[in-house]
Amino acid sequence: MIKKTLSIVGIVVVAVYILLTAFVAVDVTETVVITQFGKPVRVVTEPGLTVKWPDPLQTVIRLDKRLQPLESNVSEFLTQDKKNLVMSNFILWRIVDATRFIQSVKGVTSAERRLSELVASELGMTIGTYSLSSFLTTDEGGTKIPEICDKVTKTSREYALREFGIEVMGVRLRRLSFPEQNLRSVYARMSAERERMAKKYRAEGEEKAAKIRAETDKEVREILAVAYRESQVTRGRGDAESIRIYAEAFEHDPDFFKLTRTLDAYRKCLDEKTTLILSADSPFFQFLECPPGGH
Amino acid sequence: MEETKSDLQRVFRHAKLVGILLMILLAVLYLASGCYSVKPEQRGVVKRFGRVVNDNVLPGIHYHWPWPIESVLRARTTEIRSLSISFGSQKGSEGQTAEASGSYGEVVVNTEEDPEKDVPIWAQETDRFVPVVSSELEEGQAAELLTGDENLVLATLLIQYTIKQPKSYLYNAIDTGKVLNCIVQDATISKIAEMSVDDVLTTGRFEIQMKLKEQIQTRADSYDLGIRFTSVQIQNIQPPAEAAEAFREVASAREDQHRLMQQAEGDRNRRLPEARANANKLRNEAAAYAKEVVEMAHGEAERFLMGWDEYRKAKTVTAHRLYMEAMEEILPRVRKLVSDPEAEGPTPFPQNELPP
Repeated sequence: MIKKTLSIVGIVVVAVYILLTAFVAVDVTETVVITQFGKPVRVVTEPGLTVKWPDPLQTVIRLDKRLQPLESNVSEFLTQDKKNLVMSNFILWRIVDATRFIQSVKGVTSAERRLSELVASELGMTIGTYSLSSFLTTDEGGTKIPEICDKVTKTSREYALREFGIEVMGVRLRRLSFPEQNLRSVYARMSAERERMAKKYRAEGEEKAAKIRAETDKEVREILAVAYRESQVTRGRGDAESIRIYAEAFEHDPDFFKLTRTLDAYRKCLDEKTTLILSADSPFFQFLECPPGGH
Repeated sequence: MEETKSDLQRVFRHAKLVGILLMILLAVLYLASGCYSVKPEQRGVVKRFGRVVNDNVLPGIHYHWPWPIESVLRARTTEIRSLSISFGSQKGSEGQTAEASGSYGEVVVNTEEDPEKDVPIWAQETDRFVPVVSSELEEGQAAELLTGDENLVLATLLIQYTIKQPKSYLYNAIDTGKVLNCIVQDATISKIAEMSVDDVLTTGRFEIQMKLKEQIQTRADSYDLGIRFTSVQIQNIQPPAEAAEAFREVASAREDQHRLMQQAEGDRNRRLPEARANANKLRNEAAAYAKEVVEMAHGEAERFLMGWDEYRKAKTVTAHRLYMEAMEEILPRVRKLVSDPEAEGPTPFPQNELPP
């Protein structure tokens, strides 16, 4: 009775053990490598349930196959025209060949280290063939940074795939700058450039203002000159008209005109300050000494 | 002895019954643990033995096979997530910039208020690959940016996105936030590297935002991150503190330029109407003068002709009368000396009566 119970319990324990270790749930995020006494025999990339011989005949190694970002350290690179650039980058990678990965790099930490070294050397080599103006430019063609990154991605992808079973999905810039010791001179250059621009703006402002003022002066004088000319013409026309009118009227009798005009002139010119020396035989005194009819 | 046995049998029978009931209860509880709810702002992804069997479970109460067969993860798809990245330390200190450039802002997870955790214990996710999903603002720190004309600028970007594809978002990258950070930083560095500092700081803002959004969407799609960017905003973009003074100076110079021109323009707007008014005055005066002299001439001519008409009728008399009238008018007010033409020598002047 007890023997029977014990054997049933034993069978159940063994069955549960086999069930638990013979069935493997492969997650959507992982690749499972089944090893037989340490030697990889099968790689399962399809998520879901899979069967293997129970432990310890076959064991599983789970690897995360998702995309992962790796930050590289900041380092200095020399461009083709011998300029120093400080750069650091991201490497986006994932495991595609699990067997190779396990055999070549063992763990993620060492994979990251070797990947960093690989990308850094590829980057150094590629940057050496480009000039600084390929990175920084305001020209039509634009910057060559994406091109450089793609180039590095391509070469390191081939190598990493072959050697580590890793697919490099992208090498992307995280930092692009000048070395620390150059920054001071960069700031100084920036300030100098700005100061030059400020001066230019002020000078341009003064120039434009002066131009506006000069133009205004010119226009004002033009306006006044034209008005002066027109007013003189108008006055002249008036004068001419009046002269014509006078002449027309006085033409009728020049003698009478002379008489009236002269008398008018006398009235105007001879005033209190005038001392008139009259000759006694002037026509005015005609009757003074010899009355009419008395001679 | 007989009674004891039957008692034992009774107790044993009861225990068996209780045991069976307990077993049934446990089985029911186990099966019930497959109930889960998806909230209105969420979408669920169901996995069976690690394989995704349904990647778009709509809101409501649902059932999945209990652990360890099936499990569910929920992602808030309607929520807009924010990612803020600062390029360069905003304080502008070199040392800080260098230090900060290597680090990322922590992804903040508020465990108290995280709706994902706000589900009954039996419906909670037990998967070991729980991605960090957060409604909090993620913040990234990056180094200052280089422009195409070798100037440095500092900037802060605010990126907003939603989850387009829950399955891709949850299972395609280990740290989606960091991958996003990477994509945005690379795109920003590349974009700024082909613009002049003036464009970057002034007119180029809109272009940068547009191009960046396009670029990072393409990248995110190529990595199948299951994300849709809704907006890219430049919150702040400025020159480094070391050169800020010079940049401000340029702005004030530009203002000075504008002010000088405005002043000249204002001067012009004042002087031209003034000149026109003066010109008008000149013209009007001339016209008035012309009218005046013509009218005067007419008047005088008329007067002359009228007088002449009468004069003609009796020439000698009128002439004499006119002469005498004039004399009468003039002689009383002038000083007169009458000289005798027959007398010899100069006419004696009364010395004291000479005008001064």
